Amino acid sequence: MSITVENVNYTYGKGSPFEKKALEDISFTIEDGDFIGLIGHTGSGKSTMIQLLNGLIKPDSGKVIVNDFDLTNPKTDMKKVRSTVGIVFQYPEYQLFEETVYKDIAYGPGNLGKSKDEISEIIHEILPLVGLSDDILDKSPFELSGGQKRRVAIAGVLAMQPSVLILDEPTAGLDPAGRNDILSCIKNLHDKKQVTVILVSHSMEDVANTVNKIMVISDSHLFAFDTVAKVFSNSEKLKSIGLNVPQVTRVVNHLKQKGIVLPGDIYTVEAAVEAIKEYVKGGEKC
Amino acid sequence: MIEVKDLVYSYVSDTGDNEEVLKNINLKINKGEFVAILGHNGSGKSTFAKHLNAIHLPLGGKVYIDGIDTSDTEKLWDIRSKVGMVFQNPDNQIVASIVEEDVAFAPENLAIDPAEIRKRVDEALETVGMSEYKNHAPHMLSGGQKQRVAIAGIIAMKPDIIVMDEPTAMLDPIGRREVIKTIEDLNQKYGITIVLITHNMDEAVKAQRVVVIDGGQIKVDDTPRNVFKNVELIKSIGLDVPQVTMLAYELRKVGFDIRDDVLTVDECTEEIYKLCQ
Repeated sequence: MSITVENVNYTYGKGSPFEKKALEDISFTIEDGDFIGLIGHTGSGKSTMIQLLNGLIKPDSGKVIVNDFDLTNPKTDMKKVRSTVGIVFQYPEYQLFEETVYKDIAYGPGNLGKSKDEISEIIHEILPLVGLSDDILDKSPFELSGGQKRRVAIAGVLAMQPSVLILDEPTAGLDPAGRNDILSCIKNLHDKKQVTVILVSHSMEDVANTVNKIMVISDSHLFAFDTVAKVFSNSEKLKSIGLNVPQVTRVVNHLKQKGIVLPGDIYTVEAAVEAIKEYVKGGEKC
Repeated sequence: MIEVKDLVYSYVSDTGDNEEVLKNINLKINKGEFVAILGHNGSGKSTFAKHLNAIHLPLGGKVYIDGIDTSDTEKLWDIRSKVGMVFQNPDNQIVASIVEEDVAFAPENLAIDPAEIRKRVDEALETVGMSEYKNHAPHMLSGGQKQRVAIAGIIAMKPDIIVMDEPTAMLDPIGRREVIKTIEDLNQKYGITIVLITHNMDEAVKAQRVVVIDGGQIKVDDTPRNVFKNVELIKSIGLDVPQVTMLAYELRKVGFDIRDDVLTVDECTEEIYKLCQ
């Protein structure tokens, strides 16, 4: 059970004057349970990438295989694919539409043919995972705060019980506290429900604090796909495509240029504090 | 100059209750200042911003722009041409199908002479670095470019003050850099007073002054350096500090002798370098 993408190409507006290559010869494998940060500039092809992963669009050539479903095979049951791979789009709260929070979350599983009892069970299981309580269920989704609306929208996708969850900039427009809430809720989902997560983000700091692996798409190509440490260790290469590493990693790199080499891979505040403690202690011993 | 005196404002909620959003705000912003306003979602900061060009009128207290009372309805156009507003979503602010026509929209409405409009549009596009796109269609531009066109549309009115409500929230890192650079230029080269509402602490660091609004009141009003060194206070009101400030704070907590008001990567590097000697 995994996601395999093989030699995928995708072009928008083929044959028209606006023809634009969005993805070129992309290949990778995502293992079950991976927690991936997907990074790339606007127009790099990352949105095209996530749409390929649940069959909203089909590649011009190459293969996309999700949990044994070959999405390029016209006989594949797309309904099953869409319940396997859930996408939370940017500003998902704009997609809320029902009279009550309950009905809104129930919409997806209802369309997948779940019974009323099953749906009720699913909703009550999901709510605490996204940090919401039962008393919200009878409210109109439109009277909630921005952060709550977003959690309801995420719950609506989770209610389809996907084994792969893709979130496109889930923290955009939220304040720092709201951002931390959503990120820890996603982390919680990954850890407790063993869901494979792909998190699209522009914030290197957020990515460094949450994911295990980073995928970088640049100019329609797969630029890097590796552990957080490996991707951030090459800050010059990232800079060359206009991306940056977290502030603490920049500090560590500057120190290295000045002859101070801190131990280990450092991209979070906690790791930096530990490394500096160790370095200073080591110095005293000498 | 902006002068806010005892400003009070409330909304009526769905259940009919009066929700007080701004409680007695007093603030003076001088000509040429660059002020960042921080606050979590629902703190009242956008409601505050909308008082600065009379989109909202005070329910209590007064707001004066260069001495003009914003609640004087006869002076509405004076206020709107002195104070320009830029909002979060660039797509909601673009009205024309050609970049230069979009920039000309506001001065046309102010019934300015066509030759003067031509001049202002060219200058405004030059200022935001978008001259080469003047004949492009705005919807084909990137987010950062669209937002700069929106800013050019405001500059063409020649305002003294520009209020920006999270202008970079929907942009990618390159777009953010472009817009922040433009904002700094407008302030430093052209002397325009900037009020920047943001959730991004690295942007707030670039301002001369940071005002933190919480629960409809001003909690802190100081230089970025003095504001962000209060890590615990800032965190307690649901905000954040730059990652390097956090690092310095954590290092102090475990006993290192390091400055508590570190704001940039370079300062932080310098401080840790001293520790490791």
